[in-house]
Parts: sequence; structure tokens; C-alpha cells
Amino acid sequence: MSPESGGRGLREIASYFLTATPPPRIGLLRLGSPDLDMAVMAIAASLEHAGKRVLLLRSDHQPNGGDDLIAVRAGGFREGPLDNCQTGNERLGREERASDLLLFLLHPECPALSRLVPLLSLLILLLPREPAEVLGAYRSAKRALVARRVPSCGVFAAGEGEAVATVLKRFLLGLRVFLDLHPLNFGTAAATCAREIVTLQLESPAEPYFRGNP
Amino acid sequence: MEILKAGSVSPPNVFELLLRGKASIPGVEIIGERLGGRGVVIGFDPITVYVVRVGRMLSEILLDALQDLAWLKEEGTLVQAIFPQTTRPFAGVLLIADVFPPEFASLLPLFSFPCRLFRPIGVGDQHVLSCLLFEPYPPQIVEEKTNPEEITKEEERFFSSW
Repeated sequence: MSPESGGRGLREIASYFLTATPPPRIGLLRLGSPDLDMAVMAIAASLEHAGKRVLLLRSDHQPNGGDDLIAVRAGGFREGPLDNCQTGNERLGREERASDLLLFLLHPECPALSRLVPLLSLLILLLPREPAEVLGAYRSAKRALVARRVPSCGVFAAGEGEAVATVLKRFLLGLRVFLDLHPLNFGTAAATCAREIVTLQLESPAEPYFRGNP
Repeated sequence: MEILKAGSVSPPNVFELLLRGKASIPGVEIIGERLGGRGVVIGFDPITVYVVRVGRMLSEILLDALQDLAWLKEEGTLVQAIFPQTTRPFAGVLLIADVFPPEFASLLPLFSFPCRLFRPIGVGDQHVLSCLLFEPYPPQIVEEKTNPEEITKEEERFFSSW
């Protein structure tokens, strides 16, 4: 075992058994087509690469095989189910304690969205690539943001080209003008987004997300 | 003190008060000087920069306003360089008049640019004007907001025009 992996292994073991501050929670709200899920995977992998231990929770989680609840994805981050939250699952509680960041892959039709948004430390809107989808995306974003307490929010547009940059610029301005928010700009590349997240001083929640067995 | 009848305040007087900051249009800021050879007056709200025209009858000022708008679109970069606060994604016209043609408001959705209309209201007596107010035209009916999550027409315009 290399010193690096040994250090990491010790940290993981320690975080399994010690009562630690719960990790900040970041919601990634997909406002475009499902292929934006790939952008979420890339962001999670970039965060892991930057030294953050990431647990990604998603409602369509597919275990790797067997009955293992948690899957380790390419890029090194762990992935688990979103629908098992607060069900007293001890394994998920341990995985949360072993994480530096909890990521939630969300979409506008997600039944838990309205309950989850107030629990997040940061909500990042994943913008559509096509200008034609922008109005619908804004409608969904407003529904998620208005009248719900979100400490901070940001926007991310996956891809390259002028159309993507225009969508990003329009959302930054629109959220500021119409919803009186000051969204953070997470750029158009997963690595940039991860770098911005790492530099943020996100507040940790007072309570863990997974309560564990009483 | 009384509300003066329409037309009691002359258009040059209305313009003068606007430029000197002695009267204000709700939600719109006016640049206090005329720009370019045409002497265009510029105003702006959160998403649109407007050319401003004042007249007795809307029909008297509409053509000039459209020519001002064409000038603004040509010289927009220069205007933004001098007045960065006017940098906005849209350009339109803001017209202040005492008399509007019947049914004119119904044509507004057909315009390819933002158009805002106001009527000046003078408050004072026949000798002294105490203040000047601006009423949106057509008079706005206060909509009962049933759902704050629904998007407004302004938001729809902003996110669907490119």
C-alpha cells in the first residue's frame, strides 16, 4: 500500500467510526436533457480527483452488482440511492460520515425536490445546451428556488461554443434581475466547476442527512 | 392641489423635468443628457435600454422614436462605452403621450422590440405645477397573483428571445 493510499485509507476508517461534522450538501439540478447526467458524473470525478471524497446520491442509482448498496464509479467517487434518505440505513450514515461532500443529482420532476432544496448548502443549476430549452429550464428553476431557502446557488452549462456561453450568461443575468439572486458562475467545464466548489467555504449542516438507526 | 387635465403640461416641459431629474418614471432611469446629433434621450430598466420620446399625440412621435431606435442599435456600443449602466440585452422605445389611438395597446405584442407607453399626470393648480407623475398605458389591472412560482410575461420574453 502506498503512503498516499494508506493515508487515505486511515482517513476513511477514522471517518467511519468518529463522529464528524456532516459534509456540505450540493444539489445538482438537471434542467436539460438526461445526457447532462454525464456532466454530473464528470464533476463528481473531478472533485474526487481534487482530493474530496464524494458520495453522489441519485434516484436512478443502479448498484454495481450483488446487493451492495454503494457503487464505486469510474473516477473513484461513490454512488448511492437518493430514495433511501432518512430511512435509518446505517450503511448510508457511515458513507456520509466518510465523505467530504454529498452530491444530489436532482431533476425538476424529482418528488423529493421541494423537501431537499432547503436542506442543501448549495444548489447548482445544470443548464440546457439548446436555447429552445431555456424557457422551460427557467420555469423549473424558478419553481425550485422561489419561496425556498437556498443559502447559495450557481449555474453550470456543460459544453463548448457560443450557444452554451449565451445560455450561461442569460441565466446569470435573469436570476439576478427577476429572482434577486446572486448566482455563482461555475463555468462550462467539469474541472472548472469542481475547482470553484473546492474554493468555496461551504457551511456544514448541523445534522447529518442520514440519521442512521435510532 | 388638483390633478391637471391631460395636456396641461407641455411635452418640452415634461422632457425638461425628466432630463433634470425633477420627474421620474417608475422603474426607469433616465440619462440626464441628449446624445448624438439626433439629441436622443435614453432611459433604461433592468433588462431594456429605451429611446424616450414625448408628445401630445402618440402618432406624432412614433416615427421619430423608431428612427431614434435605429440610431441606438447602430451606435449602441458607443453609448454603452460612455454610459456602461445602459448595457442591456434589449433595446426598445418608451413613449410618453397625452393621447393614444384607440386600440393601440392591442398592437404592442406585434412589435419586435420592447415598447412602453406612459401618460403624464400633472399635479398642482392652473398656475403652478407641483409634481409630474407617469401612469402606464394602458392602465394596469392589478392581477391577483395566485402562484408566485409562475413566470411573468417579462421573464418569458427575456428567456425566449435571442
